[in-house]
Amino acid sequence: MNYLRYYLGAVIVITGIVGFMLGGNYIWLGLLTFVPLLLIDIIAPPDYKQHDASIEWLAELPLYLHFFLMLGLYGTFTYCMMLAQQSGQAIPMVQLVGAAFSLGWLSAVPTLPVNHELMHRRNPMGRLFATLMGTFYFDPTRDVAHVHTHHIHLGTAKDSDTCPRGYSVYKFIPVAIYGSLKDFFEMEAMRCKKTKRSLLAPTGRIMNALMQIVVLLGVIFWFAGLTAMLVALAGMLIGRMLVEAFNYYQHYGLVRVEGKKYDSQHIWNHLKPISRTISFEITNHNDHHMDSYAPYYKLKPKADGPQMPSLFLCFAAGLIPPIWFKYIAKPRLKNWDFNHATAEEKELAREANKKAGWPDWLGESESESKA
Amino acid sequence: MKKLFGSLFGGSKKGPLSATIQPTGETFEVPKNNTLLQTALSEGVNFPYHCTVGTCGNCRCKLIEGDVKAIMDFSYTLSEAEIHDGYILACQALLKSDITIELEADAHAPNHALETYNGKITATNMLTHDIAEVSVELDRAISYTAGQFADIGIEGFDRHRSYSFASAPVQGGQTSLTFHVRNVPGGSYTEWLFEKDRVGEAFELHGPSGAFWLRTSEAPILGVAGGSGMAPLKAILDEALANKINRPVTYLFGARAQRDLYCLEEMRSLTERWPNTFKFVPILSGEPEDSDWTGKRGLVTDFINDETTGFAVSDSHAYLCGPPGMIDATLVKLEEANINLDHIHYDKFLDSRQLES
Repeated sequence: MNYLRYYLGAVIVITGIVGFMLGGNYIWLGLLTFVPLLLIDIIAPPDYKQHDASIEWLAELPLYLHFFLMLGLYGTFTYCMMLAQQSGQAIPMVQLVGAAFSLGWLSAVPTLPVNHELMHRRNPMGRLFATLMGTFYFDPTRDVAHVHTHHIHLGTAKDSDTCPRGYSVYKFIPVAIYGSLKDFFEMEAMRCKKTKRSLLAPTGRIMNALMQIVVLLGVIFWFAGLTAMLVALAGMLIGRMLVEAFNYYQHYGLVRVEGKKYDSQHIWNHLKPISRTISFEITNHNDHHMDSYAPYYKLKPKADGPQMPSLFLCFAAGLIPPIWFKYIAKPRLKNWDFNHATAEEKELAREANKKAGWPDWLGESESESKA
Repeated sequence: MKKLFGSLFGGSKKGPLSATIQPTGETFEVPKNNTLLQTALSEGVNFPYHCTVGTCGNCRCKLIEGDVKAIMDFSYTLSEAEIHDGYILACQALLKSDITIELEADAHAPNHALETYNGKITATNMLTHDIAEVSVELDRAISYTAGQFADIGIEGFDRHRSYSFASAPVQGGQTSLTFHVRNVPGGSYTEWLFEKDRVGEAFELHGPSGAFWLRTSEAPILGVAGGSGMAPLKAILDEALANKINRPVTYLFGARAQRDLYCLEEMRSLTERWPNTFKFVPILSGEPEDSDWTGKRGLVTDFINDETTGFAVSDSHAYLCGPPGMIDATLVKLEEANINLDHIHYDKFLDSRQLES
């Protein structure tokens, strides 16, 4: 069971493939997998158990398998679009939109965690697959910014993956896309300057990333035409937006003094069972930051660190920002400010609350205690 | 099946290549897809390392012969000069041919047995508003070199934390040790430690480890530390004094405000007893402008110059310990000052597996 549970991502990608094969409005099936996942995750109690796997290759298998399933998903989509094109049958707009959202959802939620898991590996095969899988959500270079920026600067203004308080997910997504690209380009430019290589060298990361995206879209265009390529591009971009939204819920509003060591309290956990399983334990998040080399099946869930509810519930609530702020973000950050922040972090938290236009709960409590 | 996946995800297909380490001459085979560092460690080579993901720089070594491939490009972490001089990161290096690398050889290099000890906390003493000196007693004697650290594991906590030895080692080993620990509210370890009197509590210690130690030389010593980077540098200087090292020292210590300064009495004592010139320069980055502080203000990097140090920075040996931002900025300054790269030694605090900041 410890091994089987991690095939949940494969099951939902296969559901998406079946949806494309059935055609018609079944094209939405990939996206609709969100609904049962959301419901089960809300109802189920948090899972604080460690699901350790001792047979490593069996635990590794679903990670690599995922890449081929994603190829299968994009391949099935291309094949179906090609058949439609050949039969001269026009696909209704609602189905094209459904295809883009299904591709986007499946390119992000089960794919990002797999990609993330592999970008932390020391073996070149894992790193290669991570780079390849980033193509599905338009981000084949994320590993650079992730290891060299995010893991060092999380919780500070230097980290593009940490969302400042008061930002809605809609405001954060473009900021995060720009930030993660800027982080990568700065690191890459520095690397090229040091090695005296051109930023656009054919062996460089920029050209490799462009090549991967061009090949994927080019193949779709070649076989299924412009509409199919544009739908796939929309799917990849939706995927990218969902990836940044994922970061939004994983680091929202937490603050840390730059340069000081971080600890469990600087990272949110989402320990509901579906959140953990489909994300390959990345929502078992603070232990990952504590030991970023530990594979997903060695991560230990920490019930005592800062907790968020179901990741799926966060995604749903975030769609309506007032609900996200009122029922999830503010109560949790208020609790964090009082119970987890150091004196210096309390100062940063007060500044962040002021900037967000939120109540100064720390200041109010101080004046109450003085009175 | 296992064999198939083993070979796909990291095993060996072709015959292994070999790595030779100079000046010891140790040679070992490196299986395909295994990093130089992981093979060296499994072969029992005393190879310096820490983060294993290519960001701390502890495992850097010089490639003398042969060719390697980087999993994550070295140049994200190494400086331009280091790359030019042929340095690589062993933790990210895969062999493309037989190679020879050069690791530092020094008669004083630490070579202590890495063992697990049981210990008890014997005292805690607050050094600043949030840093405590923790004294402990082990079940048997441990030997270490000043600047090194140990991993501490407490029952009920799933991961160890690394702390630098905060005092000079005793010849022949010792059972009494001290560490500096910062109180991080919400940090499970430190909350546990600071929430009540923990004298008598048991723990497990695994060590010593680390490649931060005083190299043999006559050159002036430039120390640069921030936060609890004080502990390993203080230990190094205490040990150097005990060993009658006679070299000029300038120690730049960065902190936020006056209340974050500590070990000032120890620094005064070192200044008085040091056989050569000894300058301890605290530098505050966040001290209120209208306070009574008459010392230096700004960042440590603002004071890396011959005027502050009193000797030519280019001729000195630099020892840096603290958060990555400070180390990176200091490295840039030191390179600008044309210091020989072999003479820069540093210990970055990256995450909880690194030294506690």
